[in-house]
This record gives sequence, C-alpha cells and structure tokens, in this order.
Amino acid sequence: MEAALKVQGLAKAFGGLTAVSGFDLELGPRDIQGIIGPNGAGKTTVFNLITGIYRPDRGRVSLGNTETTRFGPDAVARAGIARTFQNIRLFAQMSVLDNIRMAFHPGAGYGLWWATFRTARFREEEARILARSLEHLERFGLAGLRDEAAGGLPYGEQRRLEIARALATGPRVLLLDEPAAGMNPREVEELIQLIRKVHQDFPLAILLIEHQMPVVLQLCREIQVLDFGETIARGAPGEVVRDPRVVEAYLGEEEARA
Amino acid sequence: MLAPPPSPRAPGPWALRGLVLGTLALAVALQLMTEAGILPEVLNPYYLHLLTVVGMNIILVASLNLLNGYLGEFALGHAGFMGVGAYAAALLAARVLPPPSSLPPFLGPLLLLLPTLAAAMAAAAAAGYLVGRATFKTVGDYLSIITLGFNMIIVNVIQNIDAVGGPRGFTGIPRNTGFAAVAACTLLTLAVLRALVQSSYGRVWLSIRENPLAAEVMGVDVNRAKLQAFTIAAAFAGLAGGLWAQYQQFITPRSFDYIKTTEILVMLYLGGMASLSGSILGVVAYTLMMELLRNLLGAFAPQLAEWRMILSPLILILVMLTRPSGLMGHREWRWLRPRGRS
Amino acid sequence: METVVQQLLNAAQLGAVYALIALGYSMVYGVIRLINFAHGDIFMVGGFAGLLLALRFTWMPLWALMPLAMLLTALLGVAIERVAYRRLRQAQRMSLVITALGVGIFLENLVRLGVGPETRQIPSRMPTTPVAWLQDALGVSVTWDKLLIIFVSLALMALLWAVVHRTLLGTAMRAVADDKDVVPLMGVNLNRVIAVTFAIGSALAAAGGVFFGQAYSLDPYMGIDLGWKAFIAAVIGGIGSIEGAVLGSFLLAGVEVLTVAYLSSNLKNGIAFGLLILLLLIWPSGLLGRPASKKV
Repeated sequence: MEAALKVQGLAKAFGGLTAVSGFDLELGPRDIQGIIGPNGAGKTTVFNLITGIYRPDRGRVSLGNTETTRFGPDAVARAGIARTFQNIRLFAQMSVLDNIRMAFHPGAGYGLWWATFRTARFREEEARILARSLEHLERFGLAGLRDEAAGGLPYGEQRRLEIARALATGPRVLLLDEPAAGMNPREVEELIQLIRKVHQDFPLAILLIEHQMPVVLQLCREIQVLDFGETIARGAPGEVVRDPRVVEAYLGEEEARA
Repeated sequence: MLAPPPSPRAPGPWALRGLVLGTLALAVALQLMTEAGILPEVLNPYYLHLLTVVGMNIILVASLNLLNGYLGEFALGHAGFMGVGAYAAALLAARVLPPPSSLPPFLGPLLLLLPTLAAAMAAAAAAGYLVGRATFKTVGDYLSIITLGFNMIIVNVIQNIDAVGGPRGFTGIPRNTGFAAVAACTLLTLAVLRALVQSSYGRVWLSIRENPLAAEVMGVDVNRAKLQAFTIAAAFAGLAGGLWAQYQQFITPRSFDYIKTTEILVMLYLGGMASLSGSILGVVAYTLMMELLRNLLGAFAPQLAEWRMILSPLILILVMLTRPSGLMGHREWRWLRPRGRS
Repeated sequence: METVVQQLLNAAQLGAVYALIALGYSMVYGVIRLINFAHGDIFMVGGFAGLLLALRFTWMPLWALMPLAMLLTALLGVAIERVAYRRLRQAQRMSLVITALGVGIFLENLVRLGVGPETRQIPSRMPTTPVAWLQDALGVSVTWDKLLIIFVSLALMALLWAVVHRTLLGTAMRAVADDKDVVPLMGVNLNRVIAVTFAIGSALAAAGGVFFGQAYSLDPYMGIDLGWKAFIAAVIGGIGSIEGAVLGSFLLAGVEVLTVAYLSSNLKNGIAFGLLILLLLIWPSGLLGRPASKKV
C-alpha cells in the first residue's frame, strides 16, 4: 500500500538549537497515527515543517507522488494537506458560514471578472458554494450558528469549526495539533467520536499531536514519541506508553515542573 | 437537523436596481438642467459642485477601504494612484484625443470619457500592481511605509517630467466630466466593490486580515490575493483621478501628495472600516462638517471661518475617541448587504 | 574634495536635526506601537516655542531658552498622550493612528492661526564666527553654530542612550517595548512609563525645532515634511532602535544633501524615498531593527 504522506529524515535547527532531527513517518491512505512527547519536544515544529511554514534543513516530505518539501504553506494545502492549530486560528470576525465558504476559494470556479459583473456563472457558483458549505456545517452540527461570528463561539465549538474548516478543503491528510487541549473528559470523549466520524466519512489519513492519552490510545494505530527533537520510541500506543525511555522522558518533565 | 435561520426580508434585486437607475436618471436630469441654466432654487451650482466632489471622494475612499478595511493592511499612498490616473487621463484628453468642441454635444464628452477613464484606470492599476509586488516581503507598518514612499516617488517623478508641466502643473485639460458622469462612476464603483467583497475574493481578503497564516494553510496564495486587491484599489483611485482631471481642468503634482492621502484616510476611518456604507457616510459627513463649519462660523463673523481648520480635527478626534471603529465600522446599510441574509 | 567635505558637514547638521525627531518616533513606536503622526508637528511647536521665547525674552541665552522650550513641548506631548491617545490604547490600532493624524492637523492649524502662516527664523543665539583652526585643517567654512548643533544633538542622543540602557526607567521602557501586557504584573506603572516616553520624545523634538529654527526656518506646516523624513530615517535604521534612528537620520541627510549638490534639488524626495524602499526590500526590518519572527 502506498503511503499518503511520507516523511524522511526531516531536520530543523533554529540558530544552532536542534528542534527536530531525523524525523521519519509513513502514513497510509486511511491511517491514523499520533505524535506524543513532552513540551518543547518539537512536535509542532514537525507539523510546521510538513505544512511548509518552516523550510526543513534536511529531509523530504511527499504527499503521494508529489514531493512537497519546498512548497509554501498555500501550495502544501492545495496539494492536499490540511491542519488545525494548537492555539485555534479561526477567522474570528467572519461568520461561521464564511469561515467554511472561504475554503472553496481555490476551486471557486469563476474569475475576477465574473465576480465583478455578477454574471450568471458567478451566481451559480456562489449558490453551489453556499449549498456545499451549509451541507458541511450540517455535518458538524454547526448549521444553526452559521451567522455567528466565529470568534464568539464557545471553545469546544471553535475546535469543531476549525476541524470542519480544514476538512472543507478536501484534504487527503489531516494534521490535528493538540485537538483536545483544554478540554474536560466529557468533551474529550465527544472529540474522539468526532475524529472517528471524520475518519469514517472522509477518505483521508490523520496525524495528530496529543497530550491526552485517551485520545491517542483510542484512535491511533501507531504512535511515535519525540523527545528533544528525536524519535525515542514508535509502535502501537499500548506498548509505547510502557516503554521505559518514554516513561523517563515524561517523568523527567514532571520533575522539571515540580 | 436545524431549520435554516429565518432570513428577514431584505430588498430584492429590484430595490437596488431601482435605486441605481433612479439616482442616474436624477443625475442626468440635473446635468441637463445645469447646462440649460434652469436649476431649481435649492440646487445652485455650488451644491452640485459639492455633490460632484463627494462622488469622486466616495470612489477614492471606498477603493481604499478594499486595502485598509477588507484586506486589513494600512496603505498610505492612495493619492499617488489617483495622480497616475489623473495624468494619464489628462495626457490622453489634452494631447491625443480631439477637443470636445469638435464633437457633438453630450455624446462627445461621453465618447472622450470612455477611453480617458479606461486609460486612467489601466495606468493606475499598473502602478498598483508594482506597489503590490514591492510589498510582498513586508507586512504591517513596513508595508504602510512602502506605499507612502511610492506616493512620494510618484509625485516627485511627475514633478520632474516637463512634458506634463512639471511642478507647475498640467493645464488646458478639456472639461469632459460633470455631475452625471461622476454619479454614474460612483455608483458603478460601489456596485463593483460590493460584488467583489461579497464574492470568494472578498472572503479571501477578509481571511487574510483575520489570520494570514490560517488563510495560507487553507490554500490561499496571500501574495496573489494582495496583488489583486492592490491592483483593483489602484484602478479605482485612477478612475477618480481621471474624473478629477477632466472636471478641474488643471492638476498639479502636489494635489496628489500625502496631504490628499491623509484626507482620504480621515474620511475612511471617520466612516468606518470594512463597510461600504461607512465609506459613503464618512465622505458625506466630512464634507458636510467642513461646509457647515465654514458657513456657520462665517455667519457669526467672517474671520471666524478660519477656525474651522482647528475645529474639524477636534471633531475628528472626538469621533475617534467616542466611536473608535468609525461611524459604521463593519456594519452595512441594508441595501449594501448580501441579499437574503440578516 | 573641499566641496564634498562641506556637503558632508551640512549633511551632519541636517542629520542631527532628523535624528532628534526620529528618536521620538522610534521611542513612541517602541512602547505603544503607534506611528505618532503628530510627532512632526510637536517638533514644529517646539520650534515655535523657541521662537516665542526668543522674541519675548530677548535677554535669555540659548542654554536657558532651549531647555525651557523643551520643557514646554514635553508637557504638550504628555498632554496629547493623556487626552487623545490613552483611551484608545486598547482599541483598534488604526483609530489611534487617525487620532494622531487629527492631533497633527490641529496643531498645524492652531499655530497657523495663532502665529500666522509666514516663514520665520529664530534670531540666532549662537556664535556664528568661523572656527579658524578647523577651517585651516579642512579647507572649508566651519562655523561655531554648526558645530554646536551637531555636538549638542549628539550629546542629547548619548544622554538618551544612557537613560534607556543604564537606568531603572530605561529598563522599564525596554520592558514595555518587549511586552506591554506583562509589565503591570512586574510592578511597573505602565501609564507613567508611556508618559515619560512622550515627554522625552517631545523634548528631543523641541531641541530639534529650536536648532532648525536658527539654522534654517520655521513655518506651521514644516512638521509634515520633516516629520515624514525623520520617520523614514527611523524606519531605515530599524524603528524601535535608538542607534538605528541616529544611523538612519545621518544616512538620509547625507543622501539628500548630496543629491541636491550633485544631481538636482528636484530629485531630492524621489531619491530619498527610492532609497527607503530599496533598503526595506533588502532589510525588511530596517538596518538595525529586530527581524519580525513568524509565531505559530
């Protein structure tokens, strides 16, 4: 089975400080994998490297047959990788509906001139975008909030909207950066159900960063543990969390906090 | 699952079209009455002149709103684009095209206006494209400074071209514009800008304002979108310049320097950002304020009329202190809103 | 060769005035991220304060007159911040910028109505005698007033540098520049730091105004042009940086003076702004500014 997302030997240093060194990943087309690790281990940096926000010093990223290592973030997104952010990044003053609608831009299907003169083609396409966006919102139970400003939604709904927005671009790979951050156990349970449903309904692979163990244990087929930018363990979640090196990395963090 | 929210009755396409056609008919009628010298008592040429200036300023302010309100940048060079358009139109009208006197009345100026205004828009759009390209690497305040720098350079370049009169200005431009043409162009500008900001292009501009990084990971080519916005905004500033040149018949480089840019900015922020209604309101309120102050103070004592120069900035400061988002910030009058939505 | 030296000397004098204004822009930008469009006009008011004092108290020597003008202008700067800016500190940034524009227009027109639109000059209180030994050494005309302007300006800048980098107040200012929101947590009075910043920036601008009014001339609208120039100098150097503002000012003055001397005075603005854009395209955060980092 060919990998949807393949990452080989990815490395990045900031001013001599190694953030990630030699990160490898092979994500199957319908796979769910996770990355865990203590704070500052380089997890988000991996996401930023994959999505083109940072340029890697070494290594390759490819999506199917396309190498995206040198792509900018927008090109990576158009190639088929969508992501969410640890600190939610919605278009706060835009409505919930417009947060979704803007996703259809690359395939808006009309040029500037059509928009300028509001041609029939433009109106047809706009109607189609509206219908698809509403259908999309319906799927995530957000249709009732369509005219609310995204920034005014409760936290859980902002998370849901951000995931919905990422999916509206029709990605082949979805990257979720700590989707359960700041959630209580009940909300975490809902989130797990949501991600399951997303994985069922959309033909995509998911890679997620998470601190909350239930999310990782219930969802991921395979996880890898990062510490100081290096993968210290990899395998099925149940086994990895018992790995002595992993325990040490986490304990070390606990001690540092105390 | 949930029923779609009730959408309050918004005016249908006919209401808007009626408004546009009505305004146009009125404008043409007024123009004809002016030419024939049979104006009603209330509408003396002075008011008509004010309305014409208001129209041109609405084009300037609304197009700058595209950059500063919707795209969320702080562009400081709008008068420069206006200047490019004004000189392009002036050159074409005064040096290339036949004088209006050699053409039939009413139709003649129209035939001259179309190519000159098109040239004004094209030239300004080209300048806007260049400025847009130059801003790729910068954001925020540095972008403002680059646009300001271009404004200064445009003025300085024109000052150094003797063929267009250099610092002394460009004289002898035929008067091809009047109130009707300006009103038509103003409505056209508002219609086009309204269509654009409500299209997916407008949503992309807003998304860049709200969160450029999130827009990028949603597949938006931010540079391309910025470039489009700069080119379009500049083109409309050029349109205003083309109208201005053929209305005033005399232009100098200094009428397009940062003092004009400042005036446009003040009207824009007075009205409010990301709101076309605000752009209209800002221009009207500013013009009214200046004229009222002039007339009111002048009525008490002629020498007091001077004091409006310090009263008007004070009023501006008061408005900003009490309504920091301007008079209409982020809100629209009903007829400018998207149809069928609350 | 002599003429180049002569031009560079002229440039140093102009650059010193630019720097005195540019520092105020830079400092205010550093603490509240505001392009204070009224700052050029504060400089203008400072110049006129000097003029009025000089006309009213003809006996007053420069060393008394200038600090007095600086004090009055500093009070004006603090008052502007208190009345017009403070309430908008948390508002959308652009409403603050527009308010600053309004304050600037207000000051211009107030001075115009109060003093008149004419171009004026401050009666010189500086010795205009030539500096003989320096003239002999360089072979160009050097007068005491020119040297005084350059050296007093440099001394003021050095004093500012010392205040910012060597005192508790300066540490507080730099802390505010770094992160406005955590500063009150550290027991620093944010309002006082901002007020002091406006006071210092305005006082320096007033010093520039008094010098400018003696070396060149004053008019109510001069703050627009010179303000923009000084602002650009601050940006070229890297806004928020004292050294950058000084470097940018001398650089800009040099380019301007040499353009006028060897090309054409008509090209002065075009070349100055062309240089600005070119430098910003190469160093997007100015020569000595901190590069903006992408936060994710």
